[in-house]
Amino acid sequence: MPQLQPGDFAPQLIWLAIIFTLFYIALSRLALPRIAKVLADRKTKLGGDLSAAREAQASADQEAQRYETELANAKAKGNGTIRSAREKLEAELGEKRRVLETELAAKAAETETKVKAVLEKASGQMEAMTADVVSDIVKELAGIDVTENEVRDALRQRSKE
Amino acid sequence: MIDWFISAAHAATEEGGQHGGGGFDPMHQFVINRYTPIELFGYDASFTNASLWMVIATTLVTAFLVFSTAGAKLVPGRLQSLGEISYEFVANMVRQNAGTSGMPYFPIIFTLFMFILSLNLLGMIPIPGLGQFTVTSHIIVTFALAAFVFLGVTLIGIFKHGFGFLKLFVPSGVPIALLPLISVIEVISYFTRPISLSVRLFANMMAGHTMLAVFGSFVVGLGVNVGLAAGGVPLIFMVLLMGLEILIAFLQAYVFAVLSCIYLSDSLHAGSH
Repeated sequence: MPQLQPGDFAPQLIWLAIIFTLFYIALSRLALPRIAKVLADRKTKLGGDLSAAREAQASADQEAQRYETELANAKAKGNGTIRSAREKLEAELGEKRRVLETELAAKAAETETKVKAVLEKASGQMEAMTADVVSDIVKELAGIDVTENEVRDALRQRSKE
Repeated sequence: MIDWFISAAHAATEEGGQHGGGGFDPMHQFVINRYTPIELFGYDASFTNASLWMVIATTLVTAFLVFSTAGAKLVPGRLQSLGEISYEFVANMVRQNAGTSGMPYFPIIFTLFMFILSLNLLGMIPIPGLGQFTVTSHIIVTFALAAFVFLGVTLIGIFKHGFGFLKLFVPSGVPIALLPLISVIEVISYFTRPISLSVRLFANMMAGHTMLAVFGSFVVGLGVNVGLAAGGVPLIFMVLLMGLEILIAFLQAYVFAVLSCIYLSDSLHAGSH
């Protein structure tokens, strides 16, 4: 076995020690810190990106909430406007109706008084005619001469009883 | 430990001499070639083919990881993605097996994992002019790595817990009568960790590559001596074995790293055992 030549041990060990030490220094000082830095950079970048995304989402949520409240406000405002418009309209209508009603009532009252006057007038004429007719009938039948006023009093007394 | 290796190595070299003679030797791929002889403080520090393959593997991995983050993007491309996956794979491994208190040791676990994985995988690829060589198929390399893990983890345990680290060998909830036996077993299992860790990786790599070499010799032998079609049968097996070997290359690097994490966890949480 060539591996067990004792004469080869010294150069093998010496060069192994030299090369392994240099290799260790090259890796631990040069290569590994570079890779570690790349990995750490990626980690912080990813972490930063993630937190930025989270922030963006939070602000988007806030914006959405603001939009909702504004929409609700606008709706409430619109409803208020509609209600006030309706109330105003109703008030105007009520006013007009009241005016119309009073006018109508006044006209009705006037007409009524006119009718009443005509009726009174008619009933007065009828009374006079009746009294005249009654005095004529009494004169013809009983031969008693009565005045129209006496007949009228008698009739009034009758109608009272 | 080292004495055992040396005596075993002596035994191996004595019989190994006969292999090189003639014909095909599947173990030839493990031979160390000295490119530049160097001597340092009386020790042989020659730059060998193993050293060159280690330089190639570590340079490729470092370049890959650095280029993967060059002009890094938020959404990664293919190369960047691969770099990040390897980082997170090992990071999760450490976190799951050793907890967050093990994360300071992530760079060394990552280095171990990438070192073993790149050498395992690169051993599967022949390079023109260099041939093919698997550094992790050498027991001395895997043992050195395992011993490094073992010593490191033991020192961490002692620094963290002092004498309390010995609680590791006294599991809670064990009847007093059994405690001496259990403790002895625990101590033995603790000290055999570097051996099992290193032999597992070394044996897997060596067995796989020896098998591939043997099948490769079948392909050539049957193809030349019997006919081209006859060489196709072992070739199909070889292709399948290559797939298996790539899986093993990943698996053994993973096992080495996971076990290192578990040993680290034992040291970090020795008190709460």
